[in-house]
Amino acid sequence: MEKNLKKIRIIAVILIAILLCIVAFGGFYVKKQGIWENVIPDFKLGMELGGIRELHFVLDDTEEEKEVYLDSNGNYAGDVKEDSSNTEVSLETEETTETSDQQEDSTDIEGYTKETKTIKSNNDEDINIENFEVSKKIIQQRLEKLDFYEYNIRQDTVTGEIIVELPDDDNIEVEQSMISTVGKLEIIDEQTGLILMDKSDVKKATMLASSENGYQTYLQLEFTNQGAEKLKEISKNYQSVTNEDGTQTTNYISILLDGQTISKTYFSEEINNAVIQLPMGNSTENYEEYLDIAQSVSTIADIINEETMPLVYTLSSDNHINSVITNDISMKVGIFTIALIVIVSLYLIIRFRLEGLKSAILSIAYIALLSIIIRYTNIIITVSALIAMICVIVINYIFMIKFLKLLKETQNRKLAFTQTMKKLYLAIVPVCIIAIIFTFMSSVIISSIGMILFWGLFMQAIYACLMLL
Amino acid sequence: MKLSGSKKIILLGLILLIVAGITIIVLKGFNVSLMYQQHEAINVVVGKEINKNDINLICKEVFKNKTFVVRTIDFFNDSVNINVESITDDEKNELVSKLNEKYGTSLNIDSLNISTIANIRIRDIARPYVKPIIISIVVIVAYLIIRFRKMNVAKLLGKLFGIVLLTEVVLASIIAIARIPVSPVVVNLMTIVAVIELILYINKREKEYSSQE
Repeated sequence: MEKNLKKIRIIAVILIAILLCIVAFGGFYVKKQGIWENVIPDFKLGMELGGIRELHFVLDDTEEEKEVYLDSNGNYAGDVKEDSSNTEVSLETEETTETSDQQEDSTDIEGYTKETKTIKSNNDEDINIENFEVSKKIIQQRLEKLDFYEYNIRQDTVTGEIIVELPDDDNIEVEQSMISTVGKLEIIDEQTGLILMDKSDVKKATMLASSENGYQTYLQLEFTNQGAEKLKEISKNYQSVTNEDGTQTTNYISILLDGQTISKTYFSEEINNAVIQLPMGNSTENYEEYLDIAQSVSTIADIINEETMPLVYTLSSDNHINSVITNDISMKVGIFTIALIVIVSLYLIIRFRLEGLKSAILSIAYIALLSIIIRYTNIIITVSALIAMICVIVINYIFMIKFLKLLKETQNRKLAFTQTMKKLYLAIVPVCIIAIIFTFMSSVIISSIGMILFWGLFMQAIYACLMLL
Repeated sequence: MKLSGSKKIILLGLILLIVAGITIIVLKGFNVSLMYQQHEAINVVVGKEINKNDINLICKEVFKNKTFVVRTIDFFNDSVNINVESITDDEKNELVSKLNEKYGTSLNIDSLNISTIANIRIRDIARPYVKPIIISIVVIVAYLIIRFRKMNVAKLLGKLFGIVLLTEVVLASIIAIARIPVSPVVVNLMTIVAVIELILYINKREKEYSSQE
């Protein structure tokens, strides 16, 4: 009775193994709206295998004539607003109202002079090898802030031109803006354009979110001691005030990143704690939309926290370049792998007969299971990850051979299993350590190795128990 | 420590190999893979569906012994990106005429969009590896100290580092002498060799340790 039960169990395991192979290598098709669709997800490929986006950035050579403010030392203090002398927003009436005294004065602000100047995106004296290096370093730091980053960066040390190779995925636009954003933060008087504070006054930027009455994202700016004093003064001056005649005038400040307004606000009270929270975008009920906004705000916060780029780069070309590895090469590698598996399987069968056949089938099913897990855990496949996959498959075969040898010697399945497992795992402790450490790294090239080693070894430890049957 | 005759020969061979490797590294450096070194990239919009194997054959005829890599651009399969060490005017003319001959197009030299692609620095290739490898080494050493605390740990670690270092230096010398193109795959393979050595060494010590116990 027990012998029959054992036979049934073995047959069941082998059938499941064959089924796994069919699903992993052939797919699992379900009819959706009249079309048969494979529900097993595709492999996610890294840059080397899936192709790249090659972004060429060159130094921005544009120049513009602008009317600017200059302080008493002749330093740039902001762009003069074209409409600085005639408009003001009223919150109550939503109409433009008469200009307050402050605005009329704005055409001639005390301590500042106006001058028309040619402003170059990159000053000639800034274009030097040190700044090329700094810009490249900042780009690297920004890209490495992403959760799973993968990139190659090249820099021409003569022209300063930068080529960044990135995977062609959904993040490409974020990555592109991270590279071309200079990160110049300014808090200006919205009415006049005069710079009130800049990045040197900001200690830290953080993304915050609240979920009351829909999702709302905030950019929190924490100021330095010097910035806190300025903020205190600004918060007193930039408020909504009701005049004697009942009209309400509001003095706004704008927060600019690279000259683009990211927020426009005023204060309702004096700020004494050196922190402001700026609502970014509208409150939304849509979680996906919220995530998009949160990602953008988080990127802005990261850019503010990093150094400002000393040079302005602009995108000159963007190409999608396919992988060197073509279908032909993949086919050849596939055939070679199958041939190797067949040879090892034949060795197992010839050497260990029925037990060898069982382990050969289970080993192939192990590869199938691993390939399914890789797809469901969204591991990005790189060439290094493929090498890691080969390593875990080899470890599994080593386990099978060692186990079968010991089983042949001892004829005791349990003893052979425990001894082989103990010996194998004591020897590969370093690999387990590497697997765990690499898994938690942000670089795709490293984390993919770690994740494949982790899942491969974890599955091997569980899967090996089938040999007890 | 006395060495037998064959071991002396092996050691001498290894020393010679390392000296030769270091000399080549100092004089010529490693042979960095084409895609990681400064090279010329030629982008051509052929305008007709191209076959990568045909372009490879054309490049072989045009660039002869030069290393080149061909990739297709975009999704329409009508543009190609050819990466080559350098390109002369004659090679440009030959490339254009062979492409015209093959695809019946009327391309000229101006149709070739040639740009110099800067190198990727080896330190940038190695950058993502530094942190995880240092952490891994620290944790593995801590594990070895705890696991083999009853043995002479200092000797054990010294020997292990010596073996791994020697192997890596020998491998690096072979790569330098044989002018094998260095790429992240080569770096990974070198890491795997180090890990295999580590596993074998630990396995040996485990056997000694269990026999001691």
